[in-house]
Amino acid sequence: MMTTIYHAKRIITMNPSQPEATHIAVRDGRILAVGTEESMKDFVDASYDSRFENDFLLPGFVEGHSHALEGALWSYGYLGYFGRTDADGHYWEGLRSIEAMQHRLREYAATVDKASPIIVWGFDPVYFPNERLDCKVLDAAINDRPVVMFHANLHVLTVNTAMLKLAGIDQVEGIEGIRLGDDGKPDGELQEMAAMHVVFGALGYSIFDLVASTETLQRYARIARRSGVTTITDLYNPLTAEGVKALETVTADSRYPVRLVPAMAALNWSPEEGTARLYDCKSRGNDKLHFGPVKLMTDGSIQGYTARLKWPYYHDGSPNGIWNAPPQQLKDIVHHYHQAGIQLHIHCNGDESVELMLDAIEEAQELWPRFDHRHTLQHCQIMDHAQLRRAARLGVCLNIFANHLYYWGDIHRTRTLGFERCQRLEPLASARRLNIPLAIHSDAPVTPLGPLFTAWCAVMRLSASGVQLGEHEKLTVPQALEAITLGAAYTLRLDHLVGSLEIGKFADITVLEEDPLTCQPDRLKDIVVKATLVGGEVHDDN
Amino acid sequence: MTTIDYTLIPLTVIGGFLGAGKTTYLNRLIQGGLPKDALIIVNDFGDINIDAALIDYRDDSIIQLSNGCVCCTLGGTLAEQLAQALRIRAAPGAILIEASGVANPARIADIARISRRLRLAEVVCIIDGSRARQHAENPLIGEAWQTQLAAADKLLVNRLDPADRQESEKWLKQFNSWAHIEYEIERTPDSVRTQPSPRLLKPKAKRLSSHGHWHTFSLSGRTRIDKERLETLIAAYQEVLFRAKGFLLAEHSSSTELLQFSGGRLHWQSALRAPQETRLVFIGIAGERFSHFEQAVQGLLRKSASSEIVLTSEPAAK
Repeated sequence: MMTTIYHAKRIITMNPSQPEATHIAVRDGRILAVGTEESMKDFVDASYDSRFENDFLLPGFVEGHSHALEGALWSYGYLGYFGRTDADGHYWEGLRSIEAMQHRLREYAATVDKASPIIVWGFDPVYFPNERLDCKVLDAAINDRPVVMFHANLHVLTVNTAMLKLAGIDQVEGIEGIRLGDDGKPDGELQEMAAMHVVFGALGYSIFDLVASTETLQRYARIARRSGVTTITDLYNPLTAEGVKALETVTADSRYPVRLVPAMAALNWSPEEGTARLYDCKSRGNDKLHFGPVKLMTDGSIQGYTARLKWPYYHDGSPNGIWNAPPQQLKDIVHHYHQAGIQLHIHCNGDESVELMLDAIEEAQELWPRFDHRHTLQHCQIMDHAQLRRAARLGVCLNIFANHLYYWGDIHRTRTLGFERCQRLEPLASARRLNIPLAIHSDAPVTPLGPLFTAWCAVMRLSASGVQLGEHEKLTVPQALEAITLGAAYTLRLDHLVGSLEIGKFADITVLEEDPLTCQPDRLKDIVVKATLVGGEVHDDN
Repeated sequence: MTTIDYTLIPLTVIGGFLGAGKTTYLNRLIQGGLPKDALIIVNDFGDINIDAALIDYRDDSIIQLSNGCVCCTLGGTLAEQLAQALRIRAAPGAILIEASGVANPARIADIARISRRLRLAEVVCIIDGSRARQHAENPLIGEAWQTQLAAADKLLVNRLDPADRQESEKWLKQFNSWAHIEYEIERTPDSVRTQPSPRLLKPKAKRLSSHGHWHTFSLSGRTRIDKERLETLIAAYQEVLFRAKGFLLAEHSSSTELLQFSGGRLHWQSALRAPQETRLVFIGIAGERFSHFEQAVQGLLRKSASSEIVLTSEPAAK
């Protein structure tokens, strides 16, 4: 039996009995021992590996809320305002002007087969409030073949004139979601089902079809690995037969660099079918594939004005958001899965949907009391304090969308939520004060995957324009590091296997070139991830 | 448009709130005969009643719509699924879409308005006449309900006392002044019983588990139940009933009551924090006797339900 001992400048363990160490011994993919140099002498046959001697080791990061769609989107060109690294380590510079966007579009189009339409993603018009983005802007870059540009929210798209013609909607009017220009003709901005339908119909496929492929899962894992993640969710997986097969295939490879936790999309199945599906899948897991949770979507997003808010609703007076399914049906689903002994991850962005879901969980607990259910509210961006106390009483975990502070903080401050609610936007410190199990997340591809960046958001609470939102809700660096490791592992019911460096757990380690505990907190996001170990296997760029 | 191209596939959208009777309506259309190879898209397979009479209906002609995420289109959406269906199948003779209880049917109808292959046949909105005012004023779903009404070409009202029609019509017109209003012909209580609406008194009788020699069934709904009759039933079948638990919305009582039955003893208490509906779970010894009990309990629900229809159709606004 091979034992390897790594030593480092400092090992941050998340083990309260031994928070720090310098040496870690690995055998058979698991942690054999953590401790001092002296303590390692007991393992006489061990080999020593010094490659991380100048580095800092942490438990492998756990991303508790992201989507494999991240892996699918990198099949296409990226046009976002913020820079982003793809699966092959190529950094796509953020685009700060329309001209830069057009330039990138031309560059990217040159790499795509002439017969194919050009598909790009990530553009966010929110950052160009004075520009009218329409088909003419795209035509100026490319006019001889169809272009489809998904906005950052993946909900709205802008197409060029060639695509309008291909879809047969260059002349229509009076259809909601097909915006008209000054000349009374469609100007290229499309949303809603009808427009999506004709675009997907004309393309002959949907970009979302790729999500279940092994190639997507491979790419997803490479992106995760680069950001130091060793356990990652796919938090809305339909668990189709094809999808499950792909999950099994990739995780059977010993070199696959992450553990996957797919959460079953509740609304894809009736509760009875869903329960049966999940039990069927459970026996098909392995060390790198953990079935179990269910994901329920309740409302939309705050920046998209589709989240359900309590009075006084949206700061700028926009109408309240929409439910993803009838509220009673959402509650019924919670009751069903709770009773069946299954853990629920529940997307609720707005505080009204939080209220509905706390009601549902409270009723479920009255009917079928369950200890340690670990139902987790996801995003829960503007929970109020009474709701936080109630969540604590009900044993609910929170996985809070910390990245929002940076990416949409300015929008929330000025348009959607206003000053006071932004003081408790992402109420991280309050969750800790109430001892609520806490994780933080990126929701990739909605924002880029990167737990160190997410931790930076939780600690600094700065918006993209540099405004600090809610200083009383800042996490300390150790708290933020716990939220991206053991905290997230707890919400996935995997805290006995990953999330800390302790004897017996999987040897999942993230290697950093700087010490997150002693560097300036503002540097957290800039720390380089040198490598990860998953089950003792080293994964790095070499 | 001056000429209608009859080679276009007609699309019908069926809207209406949860429990309004969309599935019942759809079932009736299926039984009444649909064009050859009609494609039906429903929200929740669990709700559609594919019984023996429909066995000829091809299974793959019903698509269960998987709800995507409203904020980021993760997973399938109606638009994608419909596009995919039209790519891979021979053209269906008609398409019927059962909209989700919170969807805006107008957005679905738009698909037919711009598609080269579809034409809009009709947008129907089913309305539960006994609960319409409640739905309209509900702070959580009132807006969605009103939007659904406004999108319809035809309003189909059920569970309404004929005496209330005039009043109801006036009230409905404020949400949609142009739609054609039709009433479902009231059935005798007998026929109501054979066609329970899907959600209101859905005797789910969910077979939660049937493993070993245990059998479990559950009931839920907003119908009020005669408490004494339930007590009588439990007493009569207690030799096969191990455990019963849950909330009961009892007749002639304003609060929900918590029922506990174990060790042969029945215990009631009022429940302070409980859903305003009946939710009961029964666990017993699987077998004929327990099946009888299950049927008897369901019968209780139906009896109560028909009495509810009478109750709620009493002149509320007179």
